[in-house]
Amino acid sequence: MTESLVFLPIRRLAELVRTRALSPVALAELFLDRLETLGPRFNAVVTVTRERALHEARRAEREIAAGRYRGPLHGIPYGAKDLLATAGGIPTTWGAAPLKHQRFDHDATVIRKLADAGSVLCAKLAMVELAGGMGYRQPNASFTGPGINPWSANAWSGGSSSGSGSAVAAGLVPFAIGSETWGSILSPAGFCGIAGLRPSYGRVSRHGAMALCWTLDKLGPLCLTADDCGLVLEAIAGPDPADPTATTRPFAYEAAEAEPAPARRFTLGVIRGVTTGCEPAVVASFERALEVLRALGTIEEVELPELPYEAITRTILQAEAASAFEDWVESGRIAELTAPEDRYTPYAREAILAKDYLKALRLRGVMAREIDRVGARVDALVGPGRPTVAPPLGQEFRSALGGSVADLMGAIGNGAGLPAVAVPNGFGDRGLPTSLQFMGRVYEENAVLAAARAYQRLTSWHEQHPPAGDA
Amino acid sequence: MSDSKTNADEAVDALQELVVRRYGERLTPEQLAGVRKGIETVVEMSRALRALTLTNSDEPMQPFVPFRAEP
Repeated sequence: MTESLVFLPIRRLAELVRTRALSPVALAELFLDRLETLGPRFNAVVTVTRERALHEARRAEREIAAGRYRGPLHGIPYGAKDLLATAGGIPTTWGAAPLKHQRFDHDATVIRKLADAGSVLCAKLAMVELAGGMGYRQPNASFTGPGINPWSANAWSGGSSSGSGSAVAAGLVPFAIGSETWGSILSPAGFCGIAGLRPSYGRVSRHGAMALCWTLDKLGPLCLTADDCGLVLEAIAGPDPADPTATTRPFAYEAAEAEPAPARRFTLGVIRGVTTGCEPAVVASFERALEVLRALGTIEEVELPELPYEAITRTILQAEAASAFEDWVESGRIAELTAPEDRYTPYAREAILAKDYLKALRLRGVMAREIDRVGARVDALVGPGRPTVAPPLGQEFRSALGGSVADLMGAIGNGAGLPAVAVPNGFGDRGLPTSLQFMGRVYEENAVLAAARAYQRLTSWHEQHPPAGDA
Repeated sequence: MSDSKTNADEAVDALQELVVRRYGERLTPEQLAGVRKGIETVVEMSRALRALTLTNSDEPMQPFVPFRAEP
């Protein structure tokens, strides 16, 4: 019973809840128990919110029994990255030791929207300290310890949404909310073999979330399937007076349930050179995925003009992070962080000149127009979700943010604010998952989700779960 | 050594000096060596950005709004 439930996609759990075959309270207790017993194995959890969860679950149960069903997230447990403010005395630590006891008197907008949808908050999930913005280069960069991958106890879960990735992969929650500035949703999703959706910039309100970079930060879901990501996005998307960057463009998820298979033909693009620097096993998984995708439509190679894409996005990120955490640097408080490199790396950002930041913002406009020109010709651009499988614990990793590995799609996608979804597409070195990403034009989440769903209908990678997920 | 290499080194030296003057007392020699590597990356990024010529009308995307050309 337990095993059959913990890895069920939201859509199927929701049907059981809606028909009252499954009690939201029993469901919450199942996942709360798993969070408490298995969470420490993966360093995945900061706080189990048992009291709040049972309160929300009992309310859901009463409402559904009374015929007031709110929708597919009603009564469904979830976890939130610990940079999202939560009221009620629940700590919000930002993964940083000096903030272990930080508390807010309000819920972040995304938490409030999920409560409105009837979801049940079961845990605040571990993350890299300050969302990785201080320049960490190895997994041990959180006061909760390195995020451990459910597929291997000696592999990192990815970051900075470390607990969001490992908790979903290990069946500790059906879905989680993460954040991405550059790679922080797609990395843990890819390394842990689950689906992760980075929405368009502005699609989801960031009110109540820790700010790392005001023009790059996005919030999005990590789930077992691309379809689940769509269900969650519909609940959390939308305008918010508290966040002026939240778009008023409506988002309605074009759900999979009405789709006959094969539903449509796709035009997909592959950026020339997108696998440069990837591990051979990652390239092999990607090439096998392209063979599958050819059954769904056409694939064309696309070329982008020569631009310093990574320097553009990296300059914006580092300059804004330097400002966002100026007080931490000036006061010397960064010396209290966990990762040794986080205690001095930010000082180098004193060297970024305003002129260069503005040049990056001007080139961002050029980049956005160029990628939109390409994106208008295809339903999605596809590429490896990550250039490597999850690195070992205790080892310095190659980082796009640090400049030691190429991440062209990450630089462009985050710099231009584009949506992307990562889904598992095989296994690579050390038996660890590899991933495939679909990236679309801004506000075209439905297009990338449709392509990812179509891929998942033809493959079964998302139905494989780590043995570490067993209770 | 090329002129551009010399210029880059001079820029790194000058910016490192800025960090040393502001924060040197709180950083160990090993940490300062790490900061220097970071500054070298910053200078490298700066050179990549400055290599591109823009027109006067190319404004910063600020406040940032994701771009989409409407048909």
